[in-house]
Amino acid sequence: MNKIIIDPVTRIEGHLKIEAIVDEGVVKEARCSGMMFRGIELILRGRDPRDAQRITQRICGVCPTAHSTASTLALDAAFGIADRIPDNGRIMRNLIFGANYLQSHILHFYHLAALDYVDVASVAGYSGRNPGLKRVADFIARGHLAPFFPRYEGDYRLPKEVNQMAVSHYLEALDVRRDAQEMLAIFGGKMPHNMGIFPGGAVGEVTVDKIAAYRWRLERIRDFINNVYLPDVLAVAGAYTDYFGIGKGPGKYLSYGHWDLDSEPDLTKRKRLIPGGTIDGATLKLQALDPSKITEQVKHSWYRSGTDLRPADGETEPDLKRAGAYSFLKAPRYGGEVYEVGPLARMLTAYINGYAPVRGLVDTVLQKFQAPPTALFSVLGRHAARAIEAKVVADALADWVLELKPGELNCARYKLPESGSGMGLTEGPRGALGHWIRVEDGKIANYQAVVPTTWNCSPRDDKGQPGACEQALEGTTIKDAANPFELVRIVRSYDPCLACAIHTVTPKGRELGRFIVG
Amino acid sequence: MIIGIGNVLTHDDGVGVWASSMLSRLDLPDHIEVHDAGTVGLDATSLIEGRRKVVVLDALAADLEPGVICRMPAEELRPLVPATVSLHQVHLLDALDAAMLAGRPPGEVVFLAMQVVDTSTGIGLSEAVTEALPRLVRLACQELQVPERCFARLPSPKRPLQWDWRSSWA
Repeated sequence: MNKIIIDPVTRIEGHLKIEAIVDEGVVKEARCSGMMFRGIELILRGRDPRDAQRITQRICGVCPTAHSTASTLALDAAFGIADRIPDNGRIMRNLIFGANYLQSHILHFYHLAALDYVDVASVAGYSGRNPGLKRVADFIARGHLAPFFPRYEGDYRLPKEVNQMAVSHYLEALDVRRDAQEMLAIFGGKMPHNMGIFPGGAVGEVTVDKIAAYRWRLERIRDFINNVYLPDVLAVAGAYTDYFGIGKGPGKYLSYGHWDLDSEPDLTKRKRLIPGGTIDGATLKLQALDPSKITEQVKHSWYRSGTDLRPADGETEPDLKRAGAYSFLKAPRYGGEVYEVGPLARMLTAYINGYAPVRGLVDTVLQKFQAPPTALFSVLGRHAARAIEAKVVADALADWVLELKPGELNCARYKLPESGSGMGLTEGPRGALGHWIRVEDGKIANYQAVVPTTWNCSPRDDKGQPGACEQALEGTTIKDAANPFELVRIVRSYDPCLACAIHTVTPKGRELGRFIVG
Repeated sequence: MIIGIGNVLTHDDGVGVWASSMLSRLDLPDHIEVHDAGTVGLDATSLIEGRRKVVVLDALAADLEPGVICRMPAEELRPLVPATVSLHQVHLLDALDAAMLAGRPPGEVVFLAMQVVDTSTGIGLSEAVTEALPRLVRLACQELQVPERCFARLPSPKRPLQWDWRSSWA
């Protein structure tokens, strides 16, 4: 048995630690530990409910737009106005959040994940004409390696020209992300921490200029997705086909549904571009979403709160001394079972629900690699789903922005009720995101958020079932214990929003090496 | 460009954001932009790239007197990371790298970082940091040669700071 410690895994967002026991090159046991305690609910209690939308955005700098959306949906419900969102407001919300999606997915592939597959060192000594590659070669020559290192050595399989092209796309992606952020600011006022998404709809004026400014930036991004991002994901997949068989996870998928198309007050019935629901990978049947099945378990988490509570009744009482606990993340479960969330879950619900653009793209990818649908339940399946989603969302945004009506109402008028409660279910770029609020005497009485990475990187639950990412790691064969590419490729395929440290432990506790990993 | 970074949900850690919202209420010259970047990560790239000068307002976790403000040019900071200071600065340096790789480095990046006291969960600033806040605002203005009259009269830091849905500075 080997002990390998990777602490921390870089190129992911936040603080997470993973510990794995490896026997004869195979991961026997893996543990994910979230190392951040947030306590957002403790801040919100007693405040004006409208503060929730502003404050929850500050939980993190990576997906503030997702939190502002979930929070606003919960407030719509608590204020009793979820059925009165004007079309302009609904569309503006989609446009603001959509811009965030595009930049998030592109950031994840090029700036966080691709460096596991693309060898930046192939640009060293570059003397061609591409100014971007010259700058990278210059960074490498000066030993200024921070953006690309540390990383593992060995398993880089792309030919030199393909590597160089991918690195030049890494640089182009920086421009694309800027376009996406500007798009967000056009309707959201600013980025990060938008001011546009608001209970009742959205604030800010709709003008023809804004529509045009959004649309032409979007066109550049669509070009990039169609001609660069999707082909690059396929190129990586072509060189690493074994990763269609690595990192399966629990094989059960959950989506709350996303991109509102009407103003139906019940979010599980609201018409959404990507439908909500659950899918068992074995039968590929879509089941309707039942939010009452969502609970959080804390047997292995640093809380003294009650376990298996519904989020609306959730408690947050930290207990660092709790025996058997190893994470600040609670373990969210649906009907007591482990579910994976994220782009793969969403593309599966859309596929099975018969959404034609998703069907076409997924089938094309599977045909290209002569792969069965089960190949999607993998590291590469997640990357492909993310890229396909970027295209589908970008195409939808292009239509929606033209449906805006300048001068018409964006936001419903309403009076604040003294009491009420609400649930805001949406999908962040990384997966299912829910906010739950209870208002009493005009103030926030309780607030809970269940975020995507708690689904994917949760610790064991009350029954001892490992979380989704833990399951994906367990059973994996590690080819080179000094460069455990497999582990970081699996973890990053989930796009976790927490930093992971991976420990690989022997029963004797012998430490073979300690690595900082790229 | 003036950027305030930090997390307003962990007390003093948000001092840069509080300072930026104070600055955004001043009548500054048109060529100066103030941005509350909050807990921004690599996304800061698009805020800083191509700017002539960027002043970053941040919290500092060194072992100094509370409220002491350090001025640190980004390039001098680089060798110290990750040994010292705050996580935001690491992100900002990553963003600076990205701007350089994109071929649009800012002319100059200067951190003005204040030694903080309390970074536990909660909103608001400790007394020492509240008192030092106008000084941070003044230094940021001076860094960009803002005329004295623009920041001669700053709001009193004495009254308790509030954060609500209307604005970041009430």
